[in-house]
Amino acid sequence: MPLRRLVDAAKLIAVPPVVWTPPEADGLTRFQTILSIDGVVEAGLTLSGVAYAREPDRHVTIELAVELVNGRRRTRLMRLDWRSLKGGHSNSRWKCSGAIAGVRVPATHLHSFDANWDDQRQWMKRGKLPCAEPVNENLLTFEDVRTFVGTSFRINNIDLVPKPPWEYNLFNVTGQHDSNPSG
Amino acid sequence: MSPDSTIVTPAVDKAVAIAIGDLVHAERSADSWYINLPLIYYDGSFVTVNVRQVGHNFRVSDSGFTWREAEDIGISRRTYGQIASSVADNIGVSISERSLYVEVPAPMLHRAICDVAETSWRIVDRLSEKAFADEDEDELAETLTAKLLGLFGSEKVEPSASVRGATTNEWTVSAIVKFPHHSTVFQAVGSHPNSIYKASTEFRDLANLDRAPRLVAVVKDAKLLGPRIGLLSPAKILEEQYTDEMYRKAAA
Repeated sequence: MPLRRLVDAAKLIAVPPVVWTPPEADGLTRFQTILSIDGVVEAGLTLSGVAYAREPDRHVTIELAVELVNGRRRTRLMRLDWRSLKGGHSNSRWKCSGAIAGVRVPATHLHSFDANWDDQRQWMKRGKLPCAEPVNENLLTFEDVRTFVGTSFRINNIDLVPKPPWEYNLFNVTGQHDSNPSG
Repeated sequence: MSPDSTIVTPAVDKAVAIAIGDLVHAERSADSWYINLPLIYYDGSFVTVNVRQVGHNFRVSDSGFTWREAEDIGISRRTYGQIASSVADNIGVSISERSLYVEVPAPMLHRAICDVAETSWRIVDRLSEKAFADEDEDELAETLTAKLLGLFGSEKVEPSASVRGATTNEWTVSAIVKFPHHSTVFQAVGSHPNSIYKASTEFRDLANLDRAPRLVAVVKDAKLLGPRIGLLSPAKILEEQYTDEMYRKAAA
């Protein structure tokens, strides 16, 4: 199936439940689940997520990708980064086009299919979805993130993705994000 | 006054102030700080270090982000370890299983942040160059496999097949097409030298088998390989856009 069709088609999480893995030594936890289109499981089409248990309410990545017939590597189609601790994303001046070319986008941003599609090669641009755009919606909670992903990635039963196994304590409930003490 | 020398205007002041303010970001997290530096990984994300106090010193680490960048582009732990060690040794940064770090007193904090960030960037830069070579090849392999399946059918075509060469090394080739009396190996070859050298070694190993398969290298554009194209000599060379008939002849 053409890559654009995989993105545009209405999809469902095919095999619930969706489970986050136990946190690794650095706190990383992830899920991966397969998707169906029109009632048929689409081989290799996956939704995956990454979060850090000790960083609640931030630094979440959710990605749509596909492993094709000869795929030793996933082909990434779309990704949302929410409140990334890596401080946003810098778009290349030459790989990205239009208003997003050469600009820094905030810590919450979307690597959309269209921004990363190479029309000439009829394939995704090289790199890990190198172009990102700001997200206009104010995503305050994981539930907001999930709803946004459901709409953007066209996954109708996105509510099956539970909250990451975040570990809250007195120190990590800050509610402060995207701060820049240098002004 | 020369035509090039102009008065510094408020617009320049403002633009520069905004750009400078955007060069470094910092965010507090529990008992530490994450600092995003003006060093950009190949994918557009910022090199980020974490600073926390340990006794009278400060521990500056990459928070495991370097390994995660590597893991994300399919680099093995072994390859990561080899590259990371050689880069970190040269800059005087320590490595644990998942992170790069140094511990320093306050006066050295600035330099320590720079060192850890530079180490992380250099490691990912080297690893991503390798990964991009494979990406080029993977993309070509994908279209090649679809073409072969269309021409010969799934009963004859085995995508991502494993084949043992004369040295007993096992090679994963893009596809094998099996006929009653012979088989033909199709290998997608990217324009990056790593992809060419790998295919060259693979072809020579397979050509030395007693019952060697026929060998076909498929490239996007032969001109992009330059003089290195000669290294693929044990194989026939097809360009991706060649006709179906040329593919059939090469396989037969």
